[in-house]
Parts: sequence; C-alpha cells; structure tokens
Amino acid sequence: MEDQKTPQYVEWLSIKPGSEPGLFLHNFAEHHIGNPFIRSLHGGVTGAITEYCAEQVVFQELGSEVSCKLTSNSMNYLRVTKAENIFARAKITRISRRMAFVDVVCWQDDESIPVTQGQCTIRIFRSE
Amino acid sequence: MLSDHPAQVLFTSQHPLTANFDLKFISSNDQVLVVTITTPQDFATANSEDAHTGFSTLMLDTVMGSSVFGEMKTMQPIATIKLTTDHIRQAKIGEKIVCTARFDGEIEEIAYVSAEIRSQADDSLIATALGTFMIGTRNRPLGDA
Repeated sequence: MEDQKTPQYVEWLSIKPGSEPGLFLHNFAEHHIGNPFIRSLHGGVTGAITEYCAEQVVFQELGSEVSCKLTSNSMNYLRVTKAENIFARAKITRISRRMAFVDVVCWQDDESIPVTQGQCTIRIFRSE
Repeated sequence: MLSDHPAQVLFTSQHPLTANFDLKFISSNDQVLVVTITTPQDFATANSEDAHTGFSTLMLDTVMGSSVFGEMKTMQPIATIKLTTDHIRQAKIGEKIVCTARFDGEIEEIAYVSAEIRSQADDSLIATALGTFMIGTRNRPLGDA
C-alpha cells in the first residue's frame, strides 16, 4: 500500500534521513540521470536534494510546528557525479527569528571528496 | 514548436529524466530559448498543491543547459559548475510554466546563462537563476577507475 504521508517529491528523489541529525541518504534511480552518455546525475537533481536537506535540517532543529520557504540556493558543482547513491550533510550556519542559512555538502564515495556544495537561504514562519 | 533544437537530441522521450515530462521546446531566437512544461505530480509536496522548489531548480538547470547546447558549433558534453536560484514561489501541480533561458556568452570554455520561470496563465514570476557551464567535460565521471 502506498504511504500517503510521504510527499511524492520525496519518493521521486528517493531520499531519507540518515542515522544522525543533518545526514541524509539518497538512493540512485534511473530517472536521476542527467547525461545518459556518461551516466552522471542531473545537476538539478543534486540541487533538489540540497534544497530538501536544507529544509529538513531546519525542521530537525526547530520542530515541525514551524513552516519554511526556501528562497534561494547557490550550488557549486565540484565533481562529475556517478550513477550511484548520494550522501548529504546539512549544517545550519545561522538561524534567526525569520531566516535560516544552511550549507549542504553532497558526496558519493568519500565525505572528504564532495561532489557538490550548496548554500541555501530559508524563510521561517513561526506560529507564535 | 521547435523540432530541431540540438538539446532535443538529448532530452527526447528516451531520456531517463525527461521521458515522463511534457517538455516542449517552443522557440529559440537571438540566444533566447523558451521551453514549456506542465508541472508534474511527481514533485507534489505534503499539501499536494505545490511542487517542491527542487522542480524549479531541475527545470532551470535543464533549460539553461539546453540553451548552451543550442549555441555550440559542435556537439560536446557540458557540465553545470555553478547554479544560483531564487525561488519567488512554488509552481502549482498541473500549472503550465514557461522556462526562458538567455545565453549570455561564452569565454574560455565557460558558458554563462540566465533564466526564469513564469506561469503561462498570468505571467507571474516563479523562479530566476544564473547558471555557469563548463563546455567539454571528461567522458566519464571522476572517480571511476
């Protein structure tokens, strides 16, 4: 039976939280390929993974009673990716009352050999 | 609709990512490429009405890369090296959007492109982006033996 609580984009991206806060695991899927000739991941897919991870680490920090709107993302593509899983680590640089600034690094084989780094800016909406 | 844009060689119905997308190359004039797509259900967020911002990022990278393909004299691989995206709002699921990419120039094998996404219905701005692409990449991913 389909899990109605999992947003469809999360299923499309095939990503889930890892074993520690800020760590996320992506499972490779064929539809994540951007360049079929060299079978590298689409740059937009790693961008989308980065945005997802940035939002989620804010929820991990502040709880689900806040809502978020990702306003900008600046990605550096450091290496060509392979058609394999991605790991991502999101770190909050600063959270203020209305904004969060989050850095996200993605890697495949080794965390010391990152494939992308992203800087995300997020608007926070608090209920009080 | 365009039938012969170079990027359509890549983004055909056989492409693993765009095969299920309703991607249409509309026009390519004066270094400006226009592509339309209906926001697919695949990117629905928890509230199911909005698409995740990642969809806009995906489309902007696709259309800007396509713009670079269209301006190259010979077909060769390209790679995104930097992508900066501002998300004004999320696209709605089922919303028809217009992605416009402007090829700003190329020097020393680096191409510079700017792009935006607007709603086809009311022309409202959804996202803007600047992209930088390396022309001519290695023929296989780094790290492969």
